[in-house]
Amino acid sequence: MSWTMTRKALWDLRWSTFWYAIGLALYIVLLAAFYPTFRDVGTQFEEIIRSYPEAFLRAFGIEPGAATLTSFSGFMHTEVFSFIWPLVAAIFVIMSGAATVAQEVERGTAELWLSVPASRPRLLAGKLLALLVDIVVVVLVSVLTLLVAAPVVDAELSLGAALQLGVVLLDFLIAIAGLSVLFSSFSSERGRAAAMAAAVVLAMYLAWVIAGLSERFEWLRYLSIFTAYRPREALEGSGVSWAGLFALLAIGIGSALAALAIFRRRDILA
Amino acid sequence: MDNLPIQVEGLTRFYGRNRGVEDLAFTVERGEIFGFLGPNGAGKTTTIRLLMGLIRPTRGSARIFGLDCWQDAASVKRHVGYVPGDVRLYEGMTGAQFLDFLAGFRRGVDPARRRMLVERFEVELSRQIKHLSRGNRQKLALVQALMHDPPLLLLDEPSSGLDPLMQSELLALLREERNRGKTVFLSSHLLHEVERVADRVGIIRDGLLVAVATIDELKRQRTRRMEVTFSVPVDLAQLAGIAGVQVLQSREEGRWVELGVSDGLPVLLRRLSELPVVDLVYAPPDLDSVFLGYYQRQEAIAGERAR
Repeated sequence: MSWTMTRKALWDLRWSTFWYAIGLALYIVLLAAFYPTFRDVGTQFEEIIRSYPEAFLRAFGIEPGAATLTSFSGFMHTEVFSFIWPLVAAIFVIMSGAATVAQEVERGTAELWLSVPASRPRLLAGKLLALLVDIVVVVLVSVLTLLVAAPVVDAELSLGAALQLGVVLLDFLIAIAGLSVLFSSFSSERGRAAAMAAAVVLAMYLAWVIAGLSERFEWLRYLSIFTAYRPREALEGSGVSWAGLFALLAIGIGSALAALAIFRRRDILA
Repeated sequence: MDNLPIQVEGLTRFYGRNRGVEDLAFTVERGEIFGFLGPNGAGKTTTIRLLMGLIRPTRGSARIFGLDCWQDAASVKRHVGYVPGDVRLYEGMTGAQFLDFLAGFRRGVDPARRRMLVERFEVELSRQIKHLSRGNRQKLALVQALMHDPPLLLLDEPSSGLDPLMQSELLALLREERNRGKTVFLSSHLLHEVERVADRVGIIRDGLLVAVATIDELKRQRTRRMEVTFSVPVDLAQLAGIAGVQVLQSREEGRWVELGVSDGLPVLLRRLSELPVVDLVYAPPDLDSVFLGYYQRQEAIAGERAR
């Protein structure tokens, strides 16, 4: 691990981390502000929502039976954490992860980057640590915002539920970060690495949606990280799937280790 | 560190089926400036990338102070200051931030030395790199390579983008470094630059090492082109007979002749003064003249025509 590298990577990511964290927090505040309105007329909305086709709901990450808008946690899940939050946060992580190696090669800075007396795995590991820190910051800001917003709108959210939500969000982003860095490790263009990572994440999302719609394709759920992304259970405090969270972590760490091994052996051709 | 600064054996790198370099073998001794000469695309940068452990050799090995350039790449860099052929820096940083960042990887970068280099090269430290001119970026790259006082400098076309004054300053600095016992590997396509500082040169063309020679040998062996136009046809045998002068080609029944001159210039000039010379072009001592000297006359001419 190279601390010099970590410091530089944190400095490089400071603004995008700041804006993504603030943006997601503002979105949470905005939606939380709407919650009191929905609580009063919630049952009617729930009926409307249930009248939507199942495929439509699933495409937005909502399980038809569980579409509750009357409870704060159900409302925030449906409006924030089922779709918009993971989408926006995934974009941040994919763009940052895809930059780690590929952008240095693309911009030609890799030659001086690799002219220092630190091994390639150590240099990349330094960047990965910075990315992890930034992911933690984004998740922390969102969870803290939610914790502060809940009492303001007369809703209840236990610290335990918020913590569990944080763990779910963190694990989910770690898995995506790992995949993005893996694609970056052998790419020479940041855009290409990001496109490949986004394609894989999107494919996994579709696999998860299809698995929920069709019993014949139910097995697809085992190919998708979205199966393990269950913020609703965390928010409701009804218990998270530790096996799923472990799987997400394993995907993230496994991909990152593979990226280190690939980067160690690849040619740097600008 | 009893080992040679650079030791290259059978070094080969192919890009797919294309040859980058093949079977390079040479050593660079401690305390010398080794010029690495070749036209663009000859394999100079490939060689330097192999030395820097950026690419893996297809065959053979490159060692720096006894360490394998691919296997021990990180340790190698402790002893090396590097200026890449195409300098690309972190645009968002200022010059000072950039130097601080790179110094962070090394212990004991002497602030006084860094200051001396910054002043000597007149480097802009406070501005963001994206606002710097090409020459200023190049100077920044030179400072980062020299600031940790490495025993070996690997410089790929280090004077590109520098104005003539700075070029001279750089060459003077390289001479000083050599006199302090440092070793310099200087890749260039500019013969006059290499001739001014190098002790020995390696000459590379089409990925193959053509020769390794001292500068004196190089000067002796190079053949410069001379084109002479006469007002009437001339018997070329009287020119071809001079030792060190070859007739490369002639046209217009002997009114125009191209000579290869490696020696015997006074005799040639005397002979020419007796002939009806209308015009004369004597090519500067460029890389071409070196290759001309190293190749058979026929081969050189055939190569020129094929180009």
